[in-house]
Formats: sequence, C-alpha cells, structure tokens
Amino acid sequence: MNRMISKSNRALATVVIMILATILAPAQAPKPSSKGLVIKGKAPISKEVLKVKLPKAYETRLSNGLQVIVLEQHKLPTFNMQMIVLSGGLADAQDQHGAAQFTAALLREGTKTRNSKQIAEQVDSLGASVGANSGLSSPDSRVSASGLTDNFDQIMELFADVILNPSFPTDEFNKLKTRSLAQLRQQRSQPGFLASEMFAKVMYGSHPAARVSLSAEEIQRLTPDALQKFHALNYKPNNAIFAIVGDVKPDEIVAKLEKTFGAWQRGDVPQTTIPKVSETGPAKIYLINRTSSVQTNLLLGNLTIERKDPDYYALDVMNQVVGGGASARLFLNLREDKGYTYGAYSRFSASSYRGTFRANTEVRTEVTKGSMDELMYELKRIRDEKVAPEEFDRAKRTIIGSFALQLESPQGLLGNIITQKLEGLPADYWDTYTQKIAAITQDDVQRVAKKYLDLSRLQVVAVGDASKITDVLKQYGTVEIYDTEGKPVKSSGGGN
Amino acid sequence: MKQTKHLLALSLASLFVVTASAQQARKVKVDFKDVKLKNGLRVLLVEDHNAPVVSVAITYDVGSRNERKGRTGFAHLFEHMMFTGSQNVGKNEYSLLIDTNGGGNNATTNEDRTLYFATVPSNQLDMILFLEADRMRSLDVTQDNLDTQRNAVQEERRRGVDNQPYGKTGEKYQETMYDNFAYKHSVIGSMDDLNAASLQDVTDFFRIYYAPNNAALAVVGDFKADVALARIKNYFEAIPSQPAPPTVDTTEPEQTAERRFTVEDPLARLPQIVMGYKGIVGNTADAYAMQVLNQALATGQSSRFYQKLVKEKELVAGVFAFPNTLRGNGDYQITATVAPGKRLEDVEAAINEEIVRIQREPIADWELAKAKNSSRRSSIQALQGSLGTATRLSQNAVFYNDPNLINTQFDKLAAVTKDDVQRVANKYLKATNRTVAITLPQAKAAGAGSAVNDK
Repeated sequence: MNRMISKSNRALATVVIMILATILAPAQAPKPSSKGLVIKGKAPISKEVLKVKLPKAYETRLSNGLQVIVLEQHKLPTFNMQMIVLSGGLADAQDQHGAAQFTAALLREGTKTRNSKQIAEQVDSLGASVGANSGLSSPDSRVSASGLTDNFDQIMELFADVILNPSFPTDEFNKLKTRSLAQLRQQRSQPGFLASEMFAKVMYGSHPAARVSLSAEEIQRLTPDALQKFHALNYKPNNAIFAIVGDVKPDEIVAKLEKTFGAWQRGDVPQTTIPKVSETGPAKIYLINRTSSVQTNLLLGNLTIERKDPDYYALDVMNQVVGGGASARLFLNLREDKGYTYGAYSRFSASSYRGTFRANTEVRTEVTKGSMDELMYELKRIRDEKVAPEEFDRAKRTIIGSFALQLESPQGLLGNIITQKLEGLPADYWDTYTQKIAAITQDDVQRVAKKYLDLSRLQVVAVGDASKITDVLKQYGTVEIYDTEGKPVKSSGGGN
Repeated sequence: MKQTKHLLALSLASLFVVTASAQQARKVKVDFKDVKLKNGLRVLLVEDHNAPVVSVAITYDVGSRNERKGRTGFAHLFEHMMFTGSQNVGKNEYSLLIDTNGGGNNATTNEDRTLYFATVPSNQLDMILFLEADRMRSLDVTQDNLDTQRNAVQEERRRGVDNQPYGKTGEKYQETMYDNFAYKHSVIGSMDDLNAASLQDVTDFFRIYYAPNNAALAVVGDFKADVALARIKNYFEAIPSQPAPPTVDTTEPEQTAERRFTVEDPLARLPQIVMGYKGIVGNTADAYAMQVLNQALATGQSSRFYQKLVKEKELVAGVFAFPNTLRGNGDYQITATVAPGKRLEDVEAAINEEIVRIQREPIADWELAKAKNSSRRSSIQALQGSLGTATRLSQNAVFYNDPNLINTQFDKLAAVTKDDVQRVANKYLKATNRTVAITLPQAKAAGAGSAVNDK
C-alpha cells in the first residue's frame, strides 16, 4: 500500500525534501504573528493525495411517494436509519413557535398502543436508540433509529409506530413543558449558549433563523392540539425521505418498508416558504454581562451565502486558511503565538437561506483587548493580502485529503447524500467537490473575503464581565450591553 | 486509481472477521498482532481494509496519578509540549502535516494514562510513524514553548472549570473523596502548580515516562501487517529504553464515614447534588457488575432514575450517573440537578430510595437484557473506525496487559448475574462509603437569584 516501503530511510528523506519543495516552502522569513509554527520539512510525506470514490446509494420511491435511500456498509452488523420529514421549525405557525420541535419530542411519549414507559423499555431492552428532533430554524424534522441488525425488525416496528401513531398525551405534554422550562434556565448559565443565541439574533433579525431557543412565553403558548395538527399536516410520505446506512440489503429494506409504511396515506402538505435574509445593520458590539466570568467569549462574523451559491468552494478554502483547525491562522496566532486562549477557530455555514462566517475564541478577561486586536488583524489580513502559495496549497490539501477519512464514517457518508438531496445540489456534487476545491485560486479567496467579510457590517458578540471589558470593547465600535436573560441593560458607547 | 478500487470493495482479506453463530447473531473479532520491540515498545497491529486510512494510537503509562505534590496538572501540561517540536519536526509541524494531508489528530490525558492518536490517509503511514517516533526519541523543549502552553492550559482550565457552573465542585469532590494523593487532585491541576512547572520538570518527566518500554503503540488500517511492522521497527526500535518508572500506589484506606460539603457557586442557576461511591477497580468482576447496575439505574429513558426523578416526581432538571472506571479505585458517580421550585432534600431522598431498592430486590429480566444488549452493541460499534480499535488495543495493553480485552470485554459483562448486581449494590453503595457534593447558586442581587434556594 505504501509507496515508499522499498526505499531506505535515507533515500526516503531525500525524496521527501524534493517533494516538499513543491508543496511546503522551506521555513522562510516568518509572517508577522506566526511564531506559532516552525516547519523543518524533514518528515517523509507522500505527495500523492489519495483519490477516493464515494460509495453510491440505492434510491427508489414507494407508491405512496416516500423517497428511499439505502447505503450499504457491511463492516459491522449495525444500521442507522432516519425519516426526514420535510417540514421543521421553519414551518411553525407564527403563534406556535416550537410546534415542530415539541411534535418531534413527543413522538416517543406515547402511541395508540404504547405508553411512554413501554416505548422506553422496549427500545432500551434492544440496546437500540430511537429519537426525534427538529430545530426552531430547521427546514425538516428527523426521526432516527439505530441498533444491531439482528434486532432490525423490532426496531423498525418501534420506529414506524412513533412516526405513524403518536397520541400526544396531555400529561406527557405538560411534563415536557416543565422539563423544557428548566432547561431554558440551565442554558443561560452557559456562556457559549448566550453567545450563539445573541449572534443568531443579530445576524438574522426577524428571520426564523434568529430563533435559537424558545422563550418561556412561547413554551406556555403551545398546546397538544397544535402538535397533533402539525403532525397530521406534515408527517406524510410524499413529504418525507427514508434513509438508511448499514449492514442491510436494498431489496429487503424496500420490502420491509412496503409492509410497514405502505399504508401511510399521502396528503397535501402546506409549502414552507423561507423568507429572504435581510442584510445586517452596521458593525456593532453586543456585550452580554455575565458577572463572575473569568473569560470573555468572543464570537464575531458576517452573513454569507446560500448553499447553492458558486462562492461556496472559495469560502470553504478561505475558512480553512483563517480558522479551520489547529493549523489555521487564528489558532496559530491567538493560542500558539500569543497564549491568549485554549482555542480559536472559524466556521462557515450555508443552507437554503444565507449562512454565516464566524470566528470564536474564549480568552482570559485581561487579554480581551489583545484578542480583539488579533481577531481584527486576521479578518483584515485575509481581505488585504493574497494568501501565500504554500499556505494556500496546504488549505486546499486539507479539504481534499480529508475525503479518505470520510469513508470510515457511514453516517457521514449518508449525511453527505442527504445534504445533496435537501439542498437541491447536482447528483455528482460530492464526486466533483474536490476538483472544484482544487480549481480555487488565491484571487478567488481574496475576492470572497472582501465580499463577505464586510468589516463595516461585522457583528461582534462578547460574553464576559462588563465591569472589566466595556471600555476595552468601546475601542472597537458601538457597544450595546445586555443581561444574561438577553434584555438590554443600558445603552452605551459613542455615536448611536 | 489502482488503490481505490480494492479499498472500497469489501475485502475478504480483512482481519476484521464477522461471523455468524447460532446462539448469538453475529460476533465481531479483532485479530491483532502483538509484538514487543527490543527496546520494550509493545506494538499492536490490525489490518483493516475497509477504508484507505491508518490510525495510530500510542498510550504512555503516565497520567495525573503519577504527579507529585506541587505539580498537579503536569502530565497534561506535558502532553501539550509533545506538539511543540522535536529534533526533526518543528513547533506544530506535527499537526500541520497531519491536517494538511487530510488527517486528524489529538491527545488526551486522564488520571491513568496519556494517549496520543491520529488518523491519516493510508499512503501517509511513513509520515505518521516518523512523526510519532521523532517526538518519542528527541523532544525539543524551550522555555518559550513551555510558557505558551502553560497559558493555553490555564485557559483550558478557565474554560472547563473556572468559567463553568459547577466547575469548582468537581475538583473539590475529587479532593474530598480520596485519601491517597494519586487520585486526590484534578487532572487539569491548580493554577499555582501549573505556574510552578519548570523546564527541568519537562525534561525529567520526558526521560522517566516517555520511554518506549513505558508505552504501547497500536496501528490499525489499510496496510500489510508485516510491511507496517518493518517500518515501525525502522523508526522506533533504536530509541533507547529507560529504567522502569517508579510504581504508583493507588490503594485507599477503607472509608468509614460519609464525607459531605457544600459549594456556593455564582455561575450556577439550579442546585446540584453529586453522590459518589468509591472503591471500584477497573476490569474486575465487580466493575462489570456495576456497569449492569448502572444500566438499570441510570441509562436511557427506561432507567429507574429517569422514570422516577424526571418523569414521575418531576424533581430534577436532569440526572445522570456512570461508573467512573479507573485502573485503581474508581467511583460510581450520580449527579442530579434540582428542578426549579423543588427541594434538594427530596432529590437526595429519591436517589436513596432507588439505591435501597436495587440493594434489596433483584433487577428485572428486561433490565438485564437491556444491559447485555446495549453493551454488545457498544462493543461492536466501537470498532466502526480504525481509531476506536487502535485506542482500545493500546489502552488495554497498558492498563491490564491484555489487548485481547477488546474481544473478551463483552463476555465478561455478559457473565454478570442478578445476584452480582445486588452484591455490588450492597458492597459499594453504602452511606459510609460515599462523598456528597452540593452546589448552591450563590444569591445575587437580581436575575439569576430567582433560582430557588433550598435549605
């Protein structure tokens, strides 16, 4: 398997240095603020990037319209399946926010023939998992089940029962409400939650994607009837995709689906219209005052693109350069050079509505200023300077090379297929992905950085001790202060 | 590509054997090679041709239990130093090379070991072996790098302990439960001790603990075992062995009375109770029986704790428990967060009621079936990726001198009877053997103070 096995170590090293010269430039004059990395270039590296062929799934449709995807993976006698109902939190009625989420959460809490406890005991006795969820800003609801293939029929029966026959018992509904209210309170003690909640709010404004968690009032407004209605309207075979990966055969699966889901009746499903995301306001800093914080959580970014936008590939590479891991700029600068943090990363997302690019880090309170300086420096740098050739190649190799590892994750492979379907991407999307990445140029990356990392609209969220960091943050723009309930405490900063 | 074809087809040559048998639907056996190099490095090899990748896991027999007083947190701080360069590898070049060739890597330290692991595309086998061997042979440490990593680790501590609700409680719990210093301190260590760590400490620690004879290397993936072994010998066998490190005493005097403390936490919003029972040693019959007990008490929505405390009485916002398995004396740890408006005393009483019940009555048939089925599933699923297999082989070799535990662990659990469960419930879950940690939200002027203060 290995191309270098016949060579001696010494010969190997020579070959390697030659290869490296084309891939990794020898350690040259270090860039400003990149003491975090030293390249000696002596390790033997295969310059070849393994080309991998992704396995193909079997696809069909039942007569009632249910789409079926089967991906065979026979390494272990296990399987993982899901029913993706193509209506989620985005389909919630205006006065029933949380209907999709609560509908999913109640599926396991009672059916026509089983109560909550019986379902729990039967699922657990099989060593299986059955679960369901839908996010508040999710386009779909997902019911999943997994286990060992020798229990397949029993697990499938439970899976079908909770999808087809949920009874939404009132007592279980009330208990779920109480649990959710307690959870709400717990979440607010987590700085990471507070940061992402505020970030979604400032990115998306009145768009449903702004909703990260329900308010107590919204939870109180939900009724079992509304959930029943959500289920009756949306859980329809012509509005669903069944997907399975594991030690299974397509023909057997289809036969079992016909038996279990064949009588599931089609129905007219209301179309979910996803509103357009409007542009964010001018750059601003949102400070959540969490007294007793010993760190400042910083989360900042911009709106980007929809999933189908051709700029996706260039943004993927840009993100890799800026903060896509422990070898990217943010980590090497803020942690490995400055010692401000345990980690600093960026992330880029895109779906049927505009996604975001975001950078985040948690730093001790005293270095909030230094950290803001470096974050701003890195955002400016990716806009103002073309990425050096060797660094650029490394970023692309990181993305392309990682496809080999994906073959070890059956669920990841199925996830890719589902993404391609749900986002309406071309059938050969993943097969051509690496070619598209390889074709991206340094100019492309600089162009998208300038276009999307619009510093005049950069939104910054900070969670920390306001008494210590308000003045620091004011140096970077207008600061609005909130309490940990998300309520504004006072307006501050110059220039409103 | 020539390579790709046979990688993606299901290889019959794979040493990953799935067989069917009458009594149990299917068993998965890991067939591994177990070799000791001349310098004492134990090498475990598995060919797995399911994907074109190689995983490497190396467990060093050193963890926070090996630390001395005044240097808590050092084993973990040292783990960070392993990424800052060696003779032929620059600072962070290790991660850079793995990342930029499509792989992934990390490391982790706990009480009992330090584990380094990576997965790379299979054509980078030489690279990953070279990188691992170079840092085992010739770690290159500088004051500057030590200071930077000290900062990173102190932020890791702030992020995971000091800035988290209930963070401080966990640390104090460990300090209260144990008498013997080995486990009587946190893995992350105190700020003072981290500040005290010197370059000399790093050099000494490396010499004493990072020797080939104090480690087990597992390599799993898409290669030919004999070829891989030759490469491993080439890179590792010349690294000199060292005298065996000092042994660690983890024995604990028997606890004779309950230990209890309360922490006021300004970051917490709901009261929380942790109850821990000490003395369960890993990979013993008692430890497997405790796992079955935990399945009945605390695993999944069918569990007794969930059904009673969450569903029926609605006393808690959450409850979870697990046997914290260590090589020495681990503990069985129950954590419950009190629901808004409920009383902490009632939560503690409800937990105790369930403990008494499992001491007095045998568990139900379905609960035993649940424990066995879920353990069978998790033992199989852990083999999905090459990394999970590599990690378990190398760790079991270091912990119990038994890499084959990967194949026998489930049978050990399956041998547990209802009587065993009742026996360990009575042996360990005694009031005199427990440590109780209570966290109360510290009253604030407004806002968060609305959490009920149950006294």
